[in-house]
Order: sequence, then structure tokens, then C-alpha cells
Amino acid sequence: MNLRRLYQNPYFLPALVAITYVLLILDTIKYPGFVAKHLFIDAKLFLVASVTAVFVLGLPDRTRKIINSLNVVISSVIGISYIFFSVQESLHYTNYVFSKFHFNFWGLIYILLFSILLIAVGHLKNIREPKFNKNNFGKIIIYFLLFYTLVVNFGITFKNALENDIYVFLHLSNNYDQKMFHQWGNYYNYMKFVKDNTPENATIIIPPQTNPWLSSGNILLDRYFLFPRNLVQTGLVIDDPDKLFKGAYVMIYKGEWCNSRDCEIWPTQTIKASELITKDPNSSSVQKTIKNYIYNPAIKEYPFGLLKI
Amino acid sequence: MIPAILFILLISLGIGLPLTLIIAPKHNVAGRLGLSYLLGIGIFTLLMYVTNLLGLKLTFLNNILIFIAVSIPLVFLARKKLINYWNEHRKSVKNFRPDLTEKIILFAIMFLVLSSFIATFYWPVYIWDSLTLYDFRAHLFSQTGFIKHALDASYNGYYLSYPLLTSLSHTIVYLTGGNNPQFIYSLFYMSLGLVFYGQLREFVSGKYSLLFTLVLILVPQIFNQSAVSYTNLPYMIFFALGAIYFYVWNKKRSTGYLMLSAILLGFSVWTRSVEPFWMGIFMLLILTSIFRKKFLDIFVFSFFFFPVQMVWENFKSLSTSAIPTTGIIRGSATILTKYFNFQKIGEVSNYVYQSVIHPWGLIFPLFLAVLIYSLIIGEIRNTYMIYLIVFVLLAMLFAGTYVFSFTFATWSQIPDSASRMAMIFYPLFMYSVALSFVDEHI
Repeated sequence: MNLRRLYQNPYFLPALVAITYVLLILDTIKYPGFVAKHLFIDAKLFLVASVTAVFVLGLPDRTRKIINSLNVVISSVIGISYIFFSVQESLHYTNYVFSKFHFNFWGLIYILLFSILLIAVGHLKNIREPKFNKNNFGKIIIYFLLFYTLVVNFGITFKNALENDIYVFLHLSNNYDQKMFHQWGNYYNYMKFVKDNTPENATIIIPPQTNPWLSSGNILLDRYFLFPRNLVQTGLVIDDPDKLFKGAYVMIYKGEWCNSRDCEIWPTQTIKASELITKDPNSSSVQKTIKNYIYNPAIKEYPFGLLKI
Repeated sequence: MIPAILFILLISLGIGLPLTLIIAPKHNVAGRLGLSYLLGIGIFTLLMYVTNLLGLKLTFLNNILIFIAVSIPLVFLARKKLINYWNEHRKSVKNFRPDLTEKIILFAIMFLVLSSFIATFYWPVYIWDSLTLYDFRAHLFSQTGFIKHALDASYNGYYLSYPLLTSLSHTIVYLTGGNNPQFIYSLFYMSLGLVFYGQLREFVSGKYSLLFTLVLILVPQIFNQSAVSYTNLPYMIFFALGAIYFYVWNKKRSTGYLMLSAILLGFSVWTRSVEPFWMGIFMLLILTSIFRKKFLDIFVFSFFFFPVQMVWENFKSLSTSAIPTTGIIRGSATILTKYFNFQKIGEVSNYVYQSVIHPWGLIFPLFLAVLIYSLIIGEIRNTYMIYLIVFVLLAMLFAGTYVFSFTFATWSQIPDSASRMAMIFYPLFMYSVALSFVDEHI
């Protein structure tokens, strides 16, 4: 095949652009990687090849005008659709769009990017001479890698950025507690529960920093939420719990890092307490208080609470 | 929050800006704006630290006093340059006529910076290391008012494991009545874009400079780090830009750039002191100075760099029995010479590939392609120093990991940390790539 005759053919670039659009749409409608699986070349490679070819060779004036006008329409429609589906996803649940509309809407990012890149690169035809020869072959490889880097990173970063922007706009009224709960889950609610139910000069005995209490047993992490309370860490078993001084608190915490086995509750031994304060499972509020309680690890009724000695 | 934001901006414009005008009179307008924030925040936190050790309590009023005491003489010294700068700024804004391609690139850059600000203004400090260390120290400082007292009373040496730039930046926000200091990381991100663009404009056309700036700030790891309170992004920015200013100094031989390089590298050590990468740049400076027989350059660099580096090292050695960096280096040299082990080299190479090179993604192959291309066409003659910087740092990264593998049993279990440490290479790779487009105009 004569490469020069191929790329000098006036239909070459428009055909390449059209094929790329089809492949990107296929990846979006079916699943990411569909084209790579069946054609053994990633659709993004076609995207980069098309953009590099348009950048290096330039489109003929008439074709450029048509392609540019088409791309302005495509980018507007795809951009609006992308935002619409992102909002839908954020309002419902992960994979909502896929289960309802049966397509992978994140794939639209690459169609959007392709149309924008074609507008940006196609515009440059006005101010530079097309060239493709053996002298600038190395530069073309560099352009190709540069555009590939841009496309791959754009896909990831743009998705992250927009996902967060939409989440923020849909949850503008959230307060500090709600935001921290979103990041840390029940661990944050528990820390708030402990903070709200112990005095600032309290001594609190926390779980050991072993699996499954890797967060709740991290004294440095707990300290951020509970400062200036005095945190004391013992081993898995508290030595002589009857000798714990009156007024000290012991955390009751069902471990958060569980793999195959059930999450254990700490403490793992019987402890006599003057009071048990239990946490509501869905918030940081107190569920109930029981006076003169004997904690028994076999009874798993209260997985989150505080024992006051 | 608004007073806190205004105070941080005031530090940038009242301290950072006049300082850049005094140190580097010739500088790109946009780059200078970004540099103002970096210098401002670095110097102000350092002053807070030094005056606090001398007995000045950390309070909002004392911060205002420090600001006035430093800003007034600087503004006075640079008053004419400041007026010229604003005129130049107004003129360049007026004359800026971006074409369609530039508008698209600018729009993408602004979208990313805005998204970073949206994330940092919305989310409170929530990331693990910041809760356990950086932000926790800031709360301690703002509550107790004295750094040494807070750190001495704070249970163990962990709170001394990293220097104080980010913690004191958080403290500024808390003392000014703010409750969420995360926006300072978005300001770092914006400054990276501005200074990187500014430094590229010294050699490359406007359109290419914009394009490469976009490619840099699009790196997912950099963008993600701009939305959380880790030290890695500020460290990367201070260090990589310090290395780039070293390159620009080497090309243009203007002492102002060497001073900027030394100050920025100093602030990198004021952000994270564990990584010894600054030694690579210092070593190159010594070699360059010997080669050119200009020994004054070593003195200039040392004058601006070492006081910052030593201030933290001395504090650490007074407060704990922690081994200073120089001790670690001596130990590392012993390991490198005594324990040469092929099997270990294989393991370390595999680890570096998996946790550092692979996460770099396509930027590394792009950098290699440009290097090979520059070698083939002989262009490397003009840009060899940037490659030298990169390869010296790469060698240090590998040697450092090798030493680490002997000294820490769990060395291979923290790939994420290694990947974050290696972020300093992104701006350097991108700068090297962009320099091969010096004669290109689109």
C-alpha cells in the first residue's frame, strides 16, 4: 500500500474522522473496551490517530468548514447530554444511567473531547503549512504521544472533576458532619458520639490497632476527633479490667476492616461498668443508657457504644 | 472564611509580589503572579515559625504585625517596579487576543482550576495523614499559640516527622477565623499552572506553552492532590519549579533565577524534609560552578537555601533524638557501598517500575521519545541540562529506594507513597518535552 497516496487522498481524513466517531459511539453503546476486544485496537488510539493526522496534514478548506460546523453541533449536543446523565447518576445511584438507558455514558467524554480537539486542531490549518515527510516523522510520533497523554488524562481528570462538581452542587446545604460522614462513614459518627458523651478531661481506652480495628484503633486518628481527651491503648485484652479507674471510658467498637471473617466487637472480655451508653446505628446520637451494666462480649446487641467504669 | 482568603491573598501580593520584583526583575507577567503566592506563603510561614520560637505568640494580631513589618519595607523597595508591573499587567490583559485554539485550552485550564476550588471550598480536611498530622498540628498551634510547647507536649516524635509549611498555612486560616484551610492547595495548583506557563514562555510560543500547561495540570494525580491536604503537591511544586528555575538560570545566567531556585528548593525542604532530592540540584550547581569557575554561584545558592533547611533540622535535633538528614545520608552511603546485591537490585527495579514508572502513565514514554528525538537531531546540545537534572534525580530515586529496602522491613508495602514522592518528575518531564518545541509555531 502506498502510504503517501493514501494520506493524500481527499477522502482519507474525513473517512478516518467518521470511522473514529463510529468506534467511539460503539464503545459508548456497548461497553468500554468493546472496540479493543473486537478490533484489537483501542478506540482511543483511533481518536489520537485522527487528531494527529488532522493536525499534521490539515483538512482541505471546504472539508474543514463542514467538519468544524458538524463538530460544533456534536460537541454542544454531547456536552449537554453528558452533564444531564452525570446529574441523573448523581441524583440516583452508581450505574443508574447504565441500568435505565443501557449505555455507558462516561464514553461520551471521548466523543466530546474528539469533537473539541478537531475544532481546536482544525482551526490551526489557517496558520501553518501541512507537512508529513521522513524529516518530521519523529516529531509526528511525539505529537501522537502528546495527544494520547492528553486524551487519556483528560478522560480520567475531567470525569473526576465533573463528578465532584455535580455532587457539590446537589449537596450544597450539607453541614460538616454530613460531609465527614460521606468520607468516613460510621467511624465519623462514632467519634462524634464519643466526643458528645465524654467530658474533655476524660480518659478513654481505645481498641488495639490490629485488624479489624485499623481506623478506630489508630490513636493518632482518634485524637484528631477527640482532642484533648486522654486516649489510652491497650492490647486485644485489657489487663485486669477491674482495676481500671473510676470514671474512665472504654470504647465498644465493631471493627471496620473486615475481610472474610465477621467483624469482631472490642472489648473481647467481660467488664463491669457503672454505665453503658449505646450509639444509634444510623447516627451519632445516643440510643439508650443502662446503669450498672456488665459487658459481655458474647452478647452482640450493642456493637457501638461506651462503657463508663 | 472570607477574611482568611483575603489575608492569604494579601500575603501573596504584599510580600511575595514585591519580593519577586526585587529578586527577578525580568519575569513573565502570569508567572510572577503564581510565584508571588509560592514565595509569600513560604516566607510568611517561616517568619511565623522563627518569631514564635523567639517568643511571639501565634495570634491573628501578631500575624498582622509580621505582615506589616515585612510588607511595608518590601513594597517601599519595589514601589516603582510594582507600578510598572501593574501597568504591564493591564497592558498584557488588554493586548491578549486568544484565537479559537487558545480559547479552548484556556477554558479547559479554567475548568480544572475552578473544579479544584469547588472541591477544596466544599470538603473539609478529611484525608488520613492530614487528620493525624498536618491539620492536627495546625489546631494545636492555633489553640496553644506556641509551636515548641505544642510539639513538646504532643506525646511522640511523630508530630516532628514533617516540617511545618502546610501546618502553619492551616494555622493562618484558623487564626484568621476560617474553618477550612483546604483552598490553599487549590492556590498551589493555580500557581503551578501560572509559573509553569511563565517559565515555558521564556523559550516556547504562547500556544505551545498553554498546551503543555494544560497537559501538566490534567495529570490525574496532580489534580487529585490539589483537592486534599497532603504535603505532596506543595512539595512537588516547590521542588520541580526550583529545578526549572535552576535550568533557566543555567541558560540565561541571571543570578535572580538562581536565587529563586534556591528559595523554592528551600521551601520544598520546609514542606517535606525526608526526600534528599535537593542534593542532586546542589551537586549539579557545584559541578557547573567548577566547570565555569564561578564559585560565587555556590555561595549565592547556599545563602538562600541552607538557612531554611537548617532551621528545621536544628529544631528537630533539639526536640527529639531523630537522626538529622546528614546522618541519614552518611548511613545511606555506607549501605550503597557495603551491600551491593544483584537480587535486591532486581526487586527494587521491579518495585520502582510498578509503583513509580507505571503510575506516570504515558508522560514517561513521551519524555523518552523526546529525549531520543533530541539525541538524533542533535538538539540535546541546547537542552542537555534539563535531561541531566532529570537523570540525576532518577538515579537518586533508585538509590534512595535501594537504601530504604535495607533499612525498612516494610519498604515494599507503601507503593502509593512512592508514587506520590515521584510526582516531582511530572513538571520536569513536561518541561523537557516542551523544550523540544522551541522553534515550532502553530
